[in-house]
Amino acid sequence: MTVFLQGVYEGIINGSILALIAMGIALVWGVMNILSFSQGEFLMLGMFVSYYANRYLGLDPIVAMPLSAGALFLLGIVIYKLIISRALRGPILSQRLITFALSMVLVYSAQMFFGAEYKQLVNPVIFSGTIDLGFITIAKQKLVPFILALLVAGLLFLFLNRTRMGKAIQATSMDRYAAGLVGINPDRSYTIAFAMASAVAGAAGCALTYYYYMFPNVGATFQLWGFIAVAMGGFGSVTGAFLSGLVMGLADTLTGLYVNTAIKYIGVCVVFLVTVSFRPKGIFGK
Amino acid sequence: MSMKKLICLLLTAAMMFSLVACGGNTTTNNTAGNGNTNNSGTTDEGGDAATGDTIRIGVLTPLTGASAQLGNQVAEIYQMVTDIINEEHPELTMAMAANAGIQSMGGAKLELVIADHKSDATTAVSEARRLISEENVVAICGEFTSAIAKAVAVVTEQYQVPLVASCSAVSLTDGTNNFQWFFRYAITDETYIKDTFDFLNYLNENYDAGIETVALFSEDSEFGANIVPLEEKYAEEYGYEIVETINYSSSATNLTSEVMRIKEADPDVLLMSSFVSDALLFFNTCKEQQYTPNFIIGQRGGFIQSDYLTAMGDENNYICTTASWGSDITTAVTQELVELWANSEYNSEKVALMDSHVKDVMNLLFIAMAIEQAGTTENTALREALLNLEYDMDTLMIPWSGIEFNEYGQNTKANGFITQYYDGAYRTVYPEAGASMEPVYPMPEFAY
Amino acid sequence: MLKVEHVQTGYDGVPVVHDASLQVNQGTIVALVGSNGSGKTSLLRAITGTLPVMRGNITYKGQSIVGMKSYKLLDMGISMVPEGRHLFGKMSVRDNLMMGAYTVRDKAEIEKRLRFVFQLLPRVEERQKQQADTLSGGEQQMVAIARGLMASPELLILDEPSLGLMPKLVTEIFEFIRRIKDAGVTIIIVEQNAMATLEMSDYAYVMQNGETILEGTGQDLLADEQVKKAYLGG
Repeated sequence: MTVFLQGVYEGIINGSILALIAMGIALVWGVMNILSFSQGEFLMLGMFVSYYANRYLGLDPIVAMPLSAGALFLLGIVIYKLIISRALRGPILSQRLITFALSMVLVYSAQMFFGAEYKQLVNPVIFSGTIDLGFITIAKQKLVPFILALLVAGLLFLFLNRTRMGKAIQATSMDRYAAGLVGINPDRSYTIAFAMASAVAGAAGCALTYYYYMFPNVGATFQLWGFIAVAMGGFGSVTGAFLSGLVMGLADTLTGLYVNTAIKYIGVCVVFLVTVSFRPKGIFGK
Repeated sequence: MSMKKLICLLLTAAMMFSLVACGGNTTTNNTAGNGNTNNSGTTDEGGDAATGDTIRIGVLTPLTGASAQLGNQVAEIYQMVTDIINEEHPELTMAMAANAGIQSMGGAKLELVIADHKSDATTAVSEARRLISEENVVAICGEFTSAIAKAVAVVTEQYQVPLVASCSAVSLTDGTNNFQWFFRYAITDETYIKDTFDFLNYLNENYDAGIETVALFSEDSEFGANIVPLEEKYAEEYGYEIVETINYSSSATNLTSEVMRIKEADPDVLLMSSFVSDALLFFNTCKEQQYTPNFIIGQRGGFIQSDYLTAMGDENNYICTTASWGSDITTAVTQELVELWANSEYNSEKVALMDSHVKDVMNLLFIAMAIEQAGTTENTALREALLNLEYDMDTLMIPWSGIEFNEYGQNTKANGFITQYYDGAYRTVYPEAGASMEPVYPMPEFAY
Repeated sequence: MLKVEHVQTGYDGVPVVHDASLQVNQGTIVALVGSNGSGKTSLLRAITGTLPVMRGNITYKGQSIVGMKSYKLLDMGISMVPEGRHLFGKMSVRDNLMMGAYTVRDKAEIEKRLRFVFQLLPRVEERQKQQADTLSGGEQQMVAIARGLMASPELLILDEPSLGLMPKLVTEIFEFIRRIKDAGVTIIIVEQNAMATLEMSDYAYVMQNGETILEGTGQDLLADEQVKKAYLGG
């Protein structure tokens, strides 16, 4: 029984990173109908911010998190203004491909600037060690991504549904023309949404550095699962993305634990396929 | 700027980055890697390899991607050794050092043509093709995993150019592919695994270890996949029970369920075939789960790479790995290479000499020795020489019992060692004859 | 109040309105009628800044409003209810109305406007908690007009409010439009449904092939032979 509980706990924790990436993808997709292929790279950049802050300033990743989120937020604004906003005026295919090209540029730039080798945090951090509750063992550093995912999900929900700016963003996503008519600046809504998504990825990257290694291509795997989580949760639904990410983490860990570690990703895919065959638009799909 | 132009610009930028950072960056040993220049009489381009003053040797190594650290180090040490071969060094013990260049070919000098395979088989294949058909190399060596070597061997077979590699997969020389142009002087996975289980017997017989159960933890690509059946074979033969077999993806986002299963199975010995990243993730996860394996024997891979060792530090103490060489081997020629490398200007990261470096260096030496023996770079003569190489073991850095090839290009007289990490280096603990330290069993707990 | 002088506008440099002129006096309902493709909606879009003005001028209370962004127009007191309603479908009716007053920060002011709108259009108040896209066509149109009113405009522009509605509903909507005028809002209404519109309007313009070809009071045009033949079925 303890093994099962530990497995469930670990699954949720593992799913938290996926949930964070997926929420970013869902936000961008839901608001401006763009598939953000570069969320994984924003995660990677967040990881490197955390690494360098740790190595040269001795900062703990959790301290570096607001830094990373802020930096990625600004980067998101710049990328939106320079690249995405122009893509939105062009043909649909360009819109889909533009973030893909962006992700390649980011990966290769990272290779050039940070080097291709695997890195881990160098200086000691606050959150190390474990708490033994008897029926499960909680690794402190693994709590960080989970709490972050909860916070982000909650804050995003509150922001989108209870604040003026958030409702403006929702309105823009529902009907861009009408949003313009009532005085909302659609471009501003898109910028904020995109920047928030990249900030979320940046913070997630920091959380990830507690226990995962970093290298320029690290975003790719998480990105892929992030997309699947969004598809499962319903494109455009941030809440759906959050829940799906957690479910996928559970599927990953429990399949590995009870069936076979070699096919744990098949387990995740099975869960995905079953979900979309019953609800093709995803759990909360619009 | 119009949309189309912007897309073109971004894609061009991406392609430019990829060209710079990845393929297509051939370097001759004038300017490779980190801007160290040397003037050992190499020409830049031109000059057909068979005639003319230089003999071109192709070097395929991962300069970027996974194993980039090791790949770059191999490129560096190759340049150091090439300089030694090309210059007169009568004071050195190692083979091919005494005279300048290849005596039997009028003192012709070796020129390295280094290419990046990025740890990607497709890139390796295209680079191999390019080295052979455009750069006119007479042979190829370098740093390969078994998967990459297999891919490249198809190319060298097609062009009939010798490929000398040290990767350990048995299938490269067990007749399944029957490569006529592939040569492996170093030992295979099978020997490493047999050595591993011999070591377990040794621990039980001499140290009362009481080892009965093993668990297998193997990544699921060519490297790990080749090792698992060998482990199963020898476990059965030697009478050890396999209590858990874990196959995992080396790019997994987490190894939680894997660790939980091993923890449940609680094996006496854990046999790991892992790369750097997954090994590090594994140990992090073990600590999260408050689990320390009783005893670990790795199969080289990530365990012997410098970025892994830097990250683990003292936590790597008492972890074992099979090895084809140990820096504590006391022969003169071995210690000479250790010294040379430690003081070499090519050694940009100032890393200590490791068995991957040594095995790869030996391959370069063997190619040079074969050219010297054949007196020509003509490929069939070269092949003959490689298969029937004359050698003086005192001039070679790995003290094997000899060099004798079977029909599939494998040196049947190579043997391996078991080393255990302690205080900053892997120390030979088995066989007893070559050991510099007594093995410690079991491993102490990690700090949680 | 609003003066449109010889305006030319179009898409991607191709004009669809060649020469249109109209004038709207304060406190009146002015209609712009014409068949499909005559350029009515395009002219409206030129007025509200969505389409570029290639020639001519548009002034509001003496000030040129050519190319002004929508939030500036809202500040000036001009609000548009677009063709096809364009509600924020997944939001509640109430939230849609709140969005209509997006540029207003003062909560008390927003409440005041809400009450005004509810009083004018009681059916909207009834349905305020419902999700907008679950309403019937007629109710959605009322919500769209209500949302436009939330901007507290001096000039309200209605683009094809009767489109796709049953005749009974059309009468109801037009009744509401009259009430809005009575409350002091100047109205421009663009319509294909010429008869009902002309009956309600103080002044009207007829557009054909991108030009304003005819003008007069609502009653005059109703009696006009040309208009009768083209738009009123003889």
